[in-house]
Amino acid sequence: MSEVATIIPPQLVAILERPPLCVGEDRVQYIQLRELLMDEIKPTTMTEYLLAYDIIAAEWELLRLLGFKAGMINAHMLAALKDHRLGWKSNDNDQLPAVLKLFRSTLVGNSEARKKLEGRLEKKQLTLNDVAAAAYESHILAQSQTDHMINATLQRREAAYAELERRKRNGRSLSSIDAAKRIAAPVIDGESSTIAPDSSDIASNTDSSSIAPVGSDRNDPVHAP
Amino acid sequence: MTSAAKIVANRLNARKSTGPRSAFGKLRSRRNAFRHGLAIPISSDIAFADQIEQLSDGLAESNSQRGQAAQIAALAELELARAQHVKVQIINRAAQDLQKQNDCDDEQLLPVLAYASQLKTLAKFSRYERRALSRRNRALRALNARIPQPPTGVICWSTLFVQPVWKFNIHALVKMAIGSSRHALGGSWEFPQINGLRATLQLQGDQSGQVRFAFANGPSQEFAIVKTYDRRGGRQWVAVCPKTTKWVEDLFLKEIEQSIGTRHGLGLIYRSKHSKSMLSSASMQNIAEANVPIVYATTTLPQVNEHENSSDGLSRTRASELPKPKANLSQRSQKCAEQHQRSENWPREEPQGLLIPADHANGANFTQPFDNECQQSEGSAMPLDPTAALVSATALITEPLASESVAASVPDNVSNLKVGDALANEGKLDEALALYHVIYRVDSTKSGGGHTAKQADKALHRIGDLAFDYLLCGHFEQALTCADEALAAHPKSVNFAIRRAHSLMFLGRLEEAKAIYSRHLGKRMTSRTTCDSYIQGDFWDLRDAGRQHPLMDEMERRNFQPYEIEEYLEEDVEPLGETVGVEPAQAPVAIIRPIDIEMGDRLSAEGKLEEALLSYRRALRGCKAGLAESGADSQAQADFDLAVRGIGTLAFKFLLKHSPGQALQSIEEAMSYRPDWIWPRKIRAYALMLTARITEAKNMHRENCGKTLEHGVTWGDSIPADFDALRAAGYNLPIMDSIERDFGSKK
Repeated sequence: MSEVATIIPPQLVAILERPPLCVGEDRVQYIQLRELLMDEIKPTTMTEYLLAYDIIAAEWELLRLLGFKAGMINAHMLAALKDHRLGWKSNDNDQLPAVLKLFRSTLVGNSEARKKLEGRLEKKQLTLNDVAAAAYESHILAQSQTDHMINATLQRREAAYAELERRKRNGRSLSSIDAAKRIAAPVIDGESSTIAPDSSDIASNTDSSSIAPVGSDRNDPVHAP
Repeated sequence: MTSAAKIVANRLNARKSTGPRSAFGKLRSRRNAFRHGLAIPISSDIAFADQIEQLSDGLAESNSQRGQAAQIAALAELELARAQHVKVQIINRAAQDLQKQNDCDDEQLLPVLAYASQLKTLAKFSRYERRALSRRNRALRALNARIPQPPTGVICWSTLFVQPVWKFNIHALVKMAIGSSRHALGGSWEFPQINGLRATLQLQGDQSGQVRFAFANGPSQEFAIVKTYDRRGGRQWVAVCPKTTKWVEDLFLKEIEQSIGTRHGLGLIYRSKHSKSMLSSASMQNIAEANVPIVYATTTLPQVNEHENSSDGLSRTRASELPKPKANLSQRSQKCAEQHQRSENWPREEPQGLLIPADHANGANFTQPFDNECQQSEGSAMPLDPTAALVSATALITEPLASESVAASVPDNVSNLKVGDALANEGKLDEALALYHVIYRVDSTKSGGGHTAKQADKALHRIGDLAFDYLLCGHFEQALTCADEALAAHPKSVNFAIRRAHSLMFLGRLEEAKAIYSRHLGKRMTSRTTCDSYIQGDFWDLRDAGRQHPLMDEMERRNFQPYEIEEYLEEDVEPLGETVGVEPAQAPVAIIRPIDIEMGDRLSAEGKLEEALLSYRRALRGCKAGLAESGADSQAQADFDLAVRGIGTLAFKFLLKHSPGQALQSIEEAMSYRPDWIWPRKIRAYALMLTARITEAKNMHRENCGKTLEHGVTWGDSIPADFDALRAAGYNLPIMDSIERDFGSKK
């Protein structure tokens, strides 16, 4: 797939050919998302292209921030485990390397490791949710700031959609824009599923307490970052 | 306290380290204060120059007149993209640092930890993004701002005058171009051609500009356009008469003569009883025909590229095909005058509205069709049908409201003031008055306050407004009745009182009128309107409708700016329209002098020095012509001196406004006319001093020091006061002290 679609006006190629990607983000996935949204919005004028680009950038940033939110919890779970409030005693620290290994395996979607980890935590009368909650609590300010940024990004996306709708109201059908909105809807819902099911549970999609690694499913454009 | 030894040691140490010495060190330290660079305008970055140009070209492609907006949008878009890139760069750099420090060996968690470490900085970036986005969206809206549909009444066939002419309403003309757009950035628009006449409107960013009329095989005329505010505080565009610099609402075109100008400039005379005899049967026929086909521009005006001459893309339709607009004051007065003319000049027809159907005449209540009419008129923009409304309204008039039950049975929508307004706009003032009376009576007899009370009050206000319409039509008795009626309910109302004064003036009750005027002159009506301007505006409207009175001239001479007296003199026409009580001997004795000089004084007082200079120069030209004709005419000479004095005074004001070059030019001009005067030399000396020609300035002081200027004031006496004024204006030069010391008298 070419990085810049041929339909994009040449004046915008310079902006679009260098998408702002963080370490670990996949350029191909970004372009997939962009093509998907461009196909749905079908911009015709330069102004519409700019607005479409706003939407793409906002969508990608939303995914990124939501990923960061979950990632921050994952990254601080081990530190949270040491928190005395969870009942983890200092003489248990020798178990930490093993627990850490299990955590990492769980994060990459190893269900066996997950079961073992849950077993170890159960001995201490803990669950993964307890540890996640402790991790969230320890970084609640960062989470709150991220929420603000997510809200700002959402507003930017909604404003771009509203402007597009306004421009197209007299001309084209809104169905395409509605469709684009529908694509974006799971992203918003994704905020509530910060702790998503792991890869083995995707099919059943029932266990909301399972832990998903950041960007565990690289082929899923919605959860790309 | 720091010891002397320590201070010395610090100084010595500081000498050892005076910053980076190598080129690289200097380069690095130059960026010590650099954080993210988002506050720097992207236009100053050469790396983005090509992108800015490409993007703005692409955005402006559709409308080359709006290049500025496209440029702003392009800049903002690139700033937005830059902010997004910088955000990502900060995360990536933090991740690299973490990786170097071996703080995180998990690649997946690396960006998360980097993000968490830079969260505070990143949170601040939303400000830059938000600002860039707002700026871009605003520019895009300006870029895509639609030129509004043209309002009607821009160009129409006027039958107000003996000779039918085309009328260009300047306000409507400008509104057509930029009316509802708040983002108008100026531009050029073309208007429909009338037999080869091409009208082009050019506006600057401040919404002033000029309109140019060009005939296909003839001359072109230009008129400046000024944005001002009407009496009610709304913005209004007017043209500036090139001859008198007065503001006019309408320009007229004599099609046969191919000349455009103001009413007085073209010598247009209102149709009236007086002028009826002047009309031939053929011209009467023409006028009668011209009553109907009013021509409007109906399609969107093309905005014209300066470099291309687009052809006239506008079509014309008859007025009957267009929805009728709510008439403004001038349109309304025109219609009133037309209605008045019809009623005066032709056999009075029985108004259709008075043909009452049998069921109405018998006192029946309103029927369903009338209700529907009222509902339609309330909610939609469709034109009202005043005749249908009047049929029902008249039914009410014929049947007095005998009891409360009858009043209660009247539907609410009868109190539809819009019907009355439509009648008034049609010029049917009597019918409108009758309807307002009905509304007032019905609503005031209904129990309770709220909506009905408000409607009654509004009806009463409309009656007061009708007083002025009656005045415009020459029905002064009726006007007085209406004003009295409105005043009875609102005894403190200033505008009703003023209208009463107008009516009294035209009815010959001058003492009463004067008493009312003098009671209100100099007082403020609203925060933006004074009684003076209100009365003067009324006088202008009255004159436009052909009503004038010596008292108006007297008041204008004493209190207001004179009203086109120069034009009256030049045209040498008899008083226009129906002049009440004006004997030829009592006609205003107009003098050319005060207009330009007084206008110059006024403009100078307002700080419009350039315009004032032009006005004085115009006065000088007139005086020179007068002197050439009549020789040593003392009046002309006095006026000449006044104008020269005005220019000299302006020179000092230019100095205070920090324009010494212009001051020097003005004062030398004044001195060229009156080289014998001493005081202009002093101002010239100041101007020379402030243009750094010190030696010449000192020489001038030296030559004239000790001479007497005016009223016994010597040269040296006046210097301290002048320098105080200059110092207050911000000049604080050592040479001023020196000159004051050498040539100025002690205070």
